[in-house]
Parts: sequence; structure tokens; C-alpha cells
Amino acid sequence: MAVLSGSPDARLPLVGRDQAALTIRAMYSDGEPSNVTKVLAGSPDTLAAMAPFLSQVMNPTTLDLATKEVVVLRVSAVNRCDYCVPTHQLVARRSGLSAEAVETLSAVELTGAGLSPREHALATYCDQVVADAAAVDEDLLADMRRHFADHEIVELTVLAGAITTLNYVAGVARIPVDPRTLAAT
Amino acid sequence: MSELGEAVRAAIDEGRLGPRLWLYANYHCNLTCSYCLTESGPGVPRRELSAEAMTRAVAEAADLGFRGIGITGGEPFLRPDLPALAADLSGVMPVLVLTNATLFEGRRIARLDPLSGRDVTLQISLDAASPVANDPMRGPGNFERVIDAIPRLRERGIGVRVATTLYGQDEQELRAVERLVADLGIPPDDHVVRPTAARGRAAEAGLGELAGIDELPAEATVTVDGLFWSPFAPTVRGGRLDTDLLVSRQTSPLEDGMRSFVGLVSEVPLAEATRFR
Repeated sequence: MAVLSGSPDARLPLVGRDQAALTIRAMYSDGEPSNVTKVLAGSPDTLAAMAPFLSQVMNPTTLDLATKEVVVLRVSAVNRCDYCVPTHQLVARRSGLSAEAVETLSAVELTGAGLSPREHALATYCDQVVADAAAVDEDLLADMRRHFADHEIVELTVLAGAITTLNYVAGVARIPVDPRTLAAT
Repeated sequence: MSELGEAVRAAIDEGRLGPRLWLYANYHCNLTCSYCLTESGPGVPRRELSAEAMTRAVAEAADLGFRGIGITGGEPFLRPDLPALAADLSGVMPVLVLTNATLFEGRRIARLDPLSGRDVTLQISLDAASPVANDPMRGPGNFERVIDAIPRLRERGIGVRVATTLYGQDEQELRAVERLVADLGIPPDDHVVRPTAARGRAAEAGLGELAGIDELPAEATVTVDGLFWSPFAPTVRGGRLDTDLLVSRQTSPLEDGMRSFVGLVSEVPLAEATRFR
């Protein structure tokens, strides 16, 4: 019972506007949603619950968008998400991260090139959380605390987990990059 | 009473939500009607709602404040367990079963013995007053079988309603079917006349009227695939289930899905009088 609109390449259905369930229809009212949203739309109850959560953790709060994009891009790179990395390279550039920083964060092996000490600490923290959160040691946590308050560490850690969830979905579904991302690159 | 139950009762009282919970018993059918919303037929996947799921949903629906049960399909009576199940469910709330009434010939009607004396009504499809006008859409021999079944059901004390689906019959034909229904002893209030919904096989054939959330009154409908806005909603087109009128994949417990349903019902403007019944 697949519903394909847009690219037929995904391994899970991309739910088009004409088949979007009633509880998530509003997400289709303001232009085409992203392909990852269309895959999540296959489970409308899940998407309806996730949407406000993702909006909270991904949008600027006391933490600005550039800081959040360090997490999004770094976690996606570590998880080797072929959909999320190009998508968020664009968002990261627009958020104010330099081209060099974006390139560094997108690489499999993390270096410090183009990153501020704060960005580097956060990227290093992301690498460790994704690999083994329980193995984050006192030194790494202390380094994070030089740059972030505890409540911000909580928020950034939750963001890393949320992005990992999206990386899983994109990875399993092999979601094609959105046309608007392709058009902008 | 639970907060959700209060909301469901209020929505029913205000006319925002139909008082009946619908259950899709199955999707297969012995007929292959031209305008079928669910592309039902003999060879399609059955997608049956289990007796346990139906029983549980009905018990929960009663707690939430629903006042009746509708069973539809597919042809529900292709299920051997349907008569006993409908009889059981009618102990909780009145039951209406939508049927083509073609499976009750001769001694086969004895299958319906469990329904005698129970609060179970059968709603039987009949679109015209002659085989020539009725059978092209519903299949050869349909008219005769229906006309044969209705009096025999009534003799057994089983309540009967008739549903006529509009697909272009002229006034003369509609008056003729009204007279026929009256002659069969069915009061006008028990003769439902509604348009073909432009979904499923009807949509493929370019038949019917637009049937979306603005046209269809809210009537909670449970299928094996989830909770839908209306019994006209869980349609199949090109072998694929339509999800545009899906409310939730959660139907057990029913209250999980009904929480989303009540949220939608409160957002949608109160419908004008609708032709879809």
C-alpha cells in the first residue's frame, strides 16, 4: 500500500499531499514538506507527536541556530546520513557557520579546521555521544561546561538523539535529497 | 466519566460526531459493484477485523458514549462468525449491518437465526426498481435476490432498511424504487438515499460526488488499518488504501485514536446538512 509522489527512489513510501492523514494535513499546507517529513507521514500519529518536539529542539532557543546546526550536521555526518548532511550543509551555512566549518563538520574524521573552541568542543561531544554516551568522560563534560550551561547540555544532548532518530529513518528509507536542496547546491 | 468520554458525548449531542461507531468487518465481497468505494470483490485481500477487536472496540465505544454500532465491508456476511458476533454486540448497543442480502437464498437464511429478537437491523442495497436498471451496477441476478430476501428477513423478525446509491437514476426511476421499497413494507425513514462518493472504483470510473472532510459527516470508523473519519473514508483505489481521511493508526485502545478524532472534530466547522448518510 505504498504512496509515492516525488522521487520513487525511497525504500519507504513518501506520502504525498493527496494521501496525508487528517491530523498532519496542515504540514502540507505551506508548500511541499521535506522528504523526511513525507516518510514520517506514513505513521501520522508518530509524526503528529514528533513535529512539536522537533520544532522545539531544532529551532533557536537560548541556543542560536548556528550552535544547533553544529549538532545536526555533526551527528548526521557521524551517522553517515546521505539525506541529512547535504540538507543541513545548506541550513548550517545560512545559520552563519563558515564554509570551512561546514566542511569540517561534514567529514567522517573530526578536525578543528574552521571551528571555534566552542564549536569544536560541541562537535567532539557529539562524536562521543553518538558512539557511546556512557563513555563521555569528566574531561569532555568539563570542556562542554566551559562553553555551555547544564540546561543547554541537556538540550543539545536531546537534539543529538532527535537527529539520530531522523538519521535512522532517512538511512533505512534511503530518502532522496529534496529537490529544493539540489536546486540550491 | 472520563474527560474523553465527556468530549465524545458532547460532540454527539452537538451533532459534530455521528452517534454510531462503524466497524469494517472485512474488505472482500461476492459482488464487484461498479461504484464500490473499497474495490471489493471475491479476490481482494480480506483484511478482516477480528471478532476480538470488534468486541473490544464496541465495549470501549459504549464507555465513551457511542450509541450504536455499524458493521460494513466488503460483504460482512461472507464471514461465518458474523451472525453470532452481531447478535453478541447488539447486547451492548443497537447494531446496523450493511449487506447486499445476496447470501440468504433458500435455507441459507437459517444462518441468521442468531439475529432473531436481537437489536440488529440489516441495511440492504437496492438502487432501482427493476433488474434492468439495478443490475448493471451491482451484477446479474442482484435485484431478484434482494427482492426475495427482504420479505423473508422481515418474516423472521429481522429489521430491514434499504439504501439506494445515486449514480444518475432519473426521477421516474427514483419514484419507482421508493414505491417498491414502500410495497416491501419499509417505512420512508428506513430508506436511505445517498450519492455515490467519488472514491475507490467510482473515482476510477469518473463517477460520484466529491467526498472529503468537508462533505462527509464525522462518523468514527475502525478498520484493520486504523481509525478513519467516516465509513466513506477507508477506500481503496488502484489496490492501494487511501489515507487522506485517516485519523489514527491507533484503534486499540480505541481512546488513543478517539483523542485525535475529538481534536479534529472540534476544529472542523459544523457541517451543513450532508447528502452522505
